[in-house]
Amino acid sequence: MKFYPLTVLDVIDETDSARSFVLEPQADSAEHFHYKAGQFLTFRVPWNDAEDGFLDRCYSLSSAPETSEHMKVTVKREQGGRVSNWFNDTVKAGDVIDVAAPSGRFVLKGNDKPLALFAAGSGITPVLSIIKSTLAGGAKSIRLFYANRDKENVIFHQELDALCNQHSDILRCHHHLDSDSGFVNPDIIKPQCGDAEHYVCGPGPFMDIVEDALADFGVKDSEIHIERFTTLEDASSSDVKTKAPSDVTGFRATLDFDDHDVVYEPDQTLLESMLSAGLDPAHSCKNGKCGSCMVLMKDGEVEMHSNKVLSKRDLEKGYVLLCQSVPMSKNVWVDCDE
Amino acid sequence: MKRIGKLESVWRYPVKSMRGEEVEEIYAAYTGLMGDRVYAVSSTDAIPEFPWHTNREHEEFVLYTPRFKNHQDTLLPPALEATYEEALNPPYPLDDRFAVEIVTPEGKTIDVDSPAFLEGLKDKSEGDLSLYYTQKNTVDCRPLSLFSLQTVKQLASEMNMELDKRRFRANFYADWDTEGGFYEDTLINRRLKIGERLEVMIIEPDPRCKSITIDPDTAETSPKILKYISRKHDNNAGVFAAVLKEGAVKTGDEICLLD
Ligand SMILES: Cc1cc2nc3c(=O)[nH]c(=O)nc-3n(C[C@H](O)[C@H](O)[C@H](O)COP(=O)(O)OP(=O)(O)OC[C@H]3O[C@@H](n4cnc5c(N)ncnc54)[C@H](O)[C@@H]3O)c2cc1C
Ligand code: FES
Repeated sequence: MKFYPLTVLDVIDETDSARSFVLEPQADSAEHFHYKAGQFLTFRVPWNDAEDGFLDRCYSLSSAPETSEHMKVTVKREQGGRVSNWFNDTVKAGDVIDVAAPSGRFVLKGNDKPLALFAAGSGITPVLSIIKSTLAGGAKSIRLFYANRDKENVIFHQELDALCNQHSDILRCHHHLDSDSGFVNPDIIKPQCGDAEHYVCGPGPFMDIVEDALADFGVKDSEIHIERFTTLEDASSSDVKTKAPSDVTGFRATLDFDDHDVVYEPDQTLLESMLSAGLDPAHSCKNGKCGSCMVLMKDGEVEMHSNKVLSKRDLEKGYVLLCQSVPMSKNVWVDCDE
Repeated sequence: MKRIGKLESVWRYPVKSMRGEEVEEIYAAYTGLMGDRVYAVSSTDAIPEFPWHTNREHEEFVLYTPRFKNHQDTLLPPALEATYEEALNPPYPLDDRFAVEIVTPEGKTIDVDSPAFLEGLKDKSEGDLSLYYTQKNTVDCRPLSLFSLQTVKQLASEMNMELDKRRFRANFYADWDTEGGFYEDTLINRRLKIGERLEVMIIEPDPRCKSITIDPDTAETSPKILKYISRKHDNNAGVFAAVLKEGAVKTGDEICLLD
């Protein structure tokens, strides 16, 4: 991932525990920072105690490209959290931070269906971006369900109220406060579902409840869009990494018609393990995009971090990508010759 | 100017990732061949930097045969000779001349921009599909790709299998005057003249992906082709070229070194 220096133009207090940061790229990297509403930026923060000397964290853009000249992210303090507190305590206007180009697939689909949005806590950031972008694009009904612990913690309260007043014909916002109504439960969620594109973003337990409610209500998978605010474990990647069970210490690989017992180290992909073992299976991009490393599963189970190249047909035949696969069982056997 | 070979055939792909079309004569512009990859299908399930629905996730896409309804109008810009004389940029025909119809693998003919076309692809993608159109070419990397018959032959012999050149989906297939494959790799950073006007610079090797594993007639895949090229040829086969001076080319044209 390539990082570019961005200047902090302004810092805005949103609540006692959340601040927004307005950012500007330098002229020579501005072309990398075109984004779609709902996408996020990945920040690389120097951190002495971190294994690689830095921590990578994703923050969704709360601005929308159609309505804001500058990009804005909003960071909520997490108790004991390193980067979120660093942002809130130390980052000031004029600072320069390393940021990778926007990415993410929590973006608007190109159809006319109404939007049913579900956000909790800092999960409002990409959702607000989506609201602003949709309103800029014209009439389309938007319902927002926004859950928070209490009134003091509602990020963008005033901005949302203003938008609701301005667009009262199409935008409706339902605030849920735990302090008044207790935790969110499926019965509260279901009336918000319907024939719409559903977008969900918030902390894990909230997401689980909403996802279950949507499934119960019979909302199709293709109409549910989810953004999970996980913390990156591996500084070199923006993907949430699958982990192998701790008792998996090796796998078998057939290469050039020889069987090899390959040692598996935690956090490796099958490709990394094979390369560490001095084997040289076909590979190229190491990114799940070219297909050079596709191999046939002979036994066992793997999970792939990402797959942008294998078809359903390939998967049904048992092909997987070495560069993306993590062994999930002790008996994994891949054939690199097939 | 030293002659190094001739243009064995010229191909364009009216819809990205679908079956190609061999043409006798065609205009090569800075952005690529006229009518090459003017349509593409995009998918919300794909990544933003490569938003296309392709034969990689839907192998049978190569069995769809697109054709221009006004074939002749899409080969050379009108008034080409006059623009050559005046050194003018030749205007292309209007968009309606680029209308395309597609013969599906089931033998049905449908317009590319009819709702039935995308509807028929619906269960082939997890995402929402839409049609993308541009007169400039939706190429992955560079405007032109070039492959040689000698490279096809060498790879076929190294892998001990029959190889159809169409797997490599090049715009130009060259027949070099020299024996042996991968001669085109030695031309990187060299300027070539093809036919009477076109000048190109060979800029880099073509890094291959799953597409070349797909048989252009059956859509069956042979992963070993890509694996072989990955391990023995650094994952590259064929080269990309940039256009330095636009012009029409035709099958059989001489290819000469300019420097
Ligand atoms: C796509 C995406 C978009 C996001 N967008 C936003 C956004 O818009 N706004 C926002 O505020 N957040 C967002 N996040 C979340 C954000 O990236 C961070 O995960 C969050 O800020 C916490 O990072 P941190 O460094 O502060 O916490 P960390 O230091 O990583 O700590 C996370 C938690 O683990 C605990 N912890 C840390 N170290 C240990 C340890 N050694 N042992 C036990 N527990 C420990 C901490 O107490 C804390 O509760 C997003 C995440 C993703 C993936
Ligand atoms: S190396 Fe390209 S997909 Fe694995």
